[in-house]
Amino acid sequence: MSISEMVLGITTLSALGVAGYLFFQNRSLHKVLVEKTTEIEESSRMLIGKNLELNDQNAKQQKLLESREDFIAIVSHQLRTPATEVRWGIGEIRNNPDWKLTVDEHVYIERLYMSAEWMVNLIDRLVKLVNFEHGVGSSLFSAYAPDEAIKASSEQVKTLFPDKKMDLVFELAYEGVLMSMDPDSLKMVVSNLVENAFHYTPEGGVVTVRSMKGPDGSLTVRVSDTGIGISPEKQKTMFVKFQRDKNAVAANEKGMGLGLYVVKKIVEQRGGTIGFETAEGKGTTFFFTVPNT
Amino acid sequence: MSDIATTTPPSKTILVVEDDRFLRDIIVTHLRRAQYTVVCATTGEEALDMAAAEHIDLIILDIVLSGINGLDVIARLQQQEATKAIPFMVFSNSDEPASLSRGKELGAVTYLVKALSTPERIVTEVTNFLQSKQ
Repeated sequence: MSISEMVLGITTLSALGVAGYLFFQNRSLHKVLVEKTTEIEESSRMLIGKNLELNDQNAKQQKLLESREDFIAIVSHQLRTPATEVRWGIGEIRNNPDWKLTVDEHVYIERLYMSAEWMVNLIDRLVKLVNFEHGVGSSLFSAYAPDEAIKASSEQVKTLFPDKKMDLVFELAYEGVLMSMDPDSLKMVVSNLVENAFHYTPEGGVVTVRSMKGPDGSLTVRVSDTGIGISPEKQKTMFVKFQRDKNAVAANEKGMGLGLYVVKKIVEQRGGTIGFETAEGKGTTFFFTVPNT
Repeated sequence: MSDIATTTPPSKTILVVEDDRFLRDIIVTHLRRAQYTVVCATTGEEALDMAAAEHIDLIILDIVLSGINGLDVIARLQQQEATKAIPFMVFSNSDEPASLSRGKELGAVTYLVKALSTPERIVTEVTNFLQSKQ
C-alpha cells in the first residue's frame, strides 16, 4: 500500500466515520445548522448595516472635511478686511511723527504693528493652503525689485526673535525687476525659509540670505544657516505636510510643519524649483529659483 | 518714501475706488502727501460717473463693491472711447482665481492683496508706474 493509498484509505474511513456520526447526529445537526445559518444571516445583516453606517460616516466625514475647508476659506477671506484695517490703522500711528508718542507708547505700537503683520501673514498662509488643497493658486502680479522684498521680509523675521543672538547677513545681487512672482508670495517663501533658519540655528549662529540673477533673468535665492542640520531620514519627507522630525520638535515645539509644504507649492506654481543642502550639526541651505516670465 | 514726494512733479489725477471709508481715507492721505490729485468713488456707479467727468491718469481699484463690482467698472470703461485706455491697479482682499484672471485679461498693471500691502506700498507702485510711463 502506497502512502497515497493509505492517505486515501484513512480519508475514506474518516469520511465514513463522519458520515455515520452525522447520520446519528443528523437531527441535532440540522437544528444546529439552522441555528448557525440564522446566526450568520443575522451577522451578515448586521455587517451590511454596519457597512451602510460606515459609508454614511465616510460621506459625513467627507462632507465635514469639505465644509471645514470651505469654512477656513471663508473665514480667512473675511478676516482679511478687519486685519487690513488693524494693520493700516496702527501703521498710520506708527509712521506719522505728528503723533509724538512716548517711548512706552512707541514700544507698544511697534509690537502691535508686528503682531498685525504677523496675523495678516498667518491668514494668508491659511488662504494659500486651502487654495492649494483645491488645486488653485492665486497668481498676483506687480513689477518690483525682489532684493528689497527679500531684505524686508528677512528683517521682519529677525524681529520675531528679539532674545536670540544671531547674525543676519545679506548678499543681494539680483538688481532688477521681477514680474513672475508677486512680492507677497516671494516674501512668504523667504520669510518661511529665514524663520526656519532662525528656529533651527543655536545662539551665536549666522543666517545668510543671497540672491542672484540667472542669464535668463531668473531669480535664485539661497538661505543658509549654521544650525542643527537635517537628518537623512527627515530629508525624505522635507516638503510633506505636517512632517517634523525630533530635531525640529526639540528646536521649535510650536511649528506646524506646514511652512515648507506651502513654500514648495508657491515656488512650483510659478514654474520654479526648490531644494536644500544639509549637513547634520553644520547647517542647511535652502535655495529656490523662479523664472522671470 | 519722502524722497519720492520731492523728486516727482506729479499733478497726475488718481481715482480711488474703495468702499471701506477708513481704508480709502488712508490711501487718499498718502497719495495726496505724494502730491497727487485724488478723486474718490465708493460704488461702481460713482466710479463710472467720475471717470467720465474727470481726466483720470490711473485708477486704484477695489473689487468687492456694492452694486457693480470693480472689474465690471473697468470692462464698461473700456467700452467707451474716452475712458478705454485708463490704466488700473487692483488692491483687493479677494484674490479668487476667477477675479485674478479677469483682472489680467482686462490689463491690470498690478493685482495685489490689500491686507498684505501697505498705503506706502500703494504710493510706491503708483509712482513707479507713472514714472515708467513718462
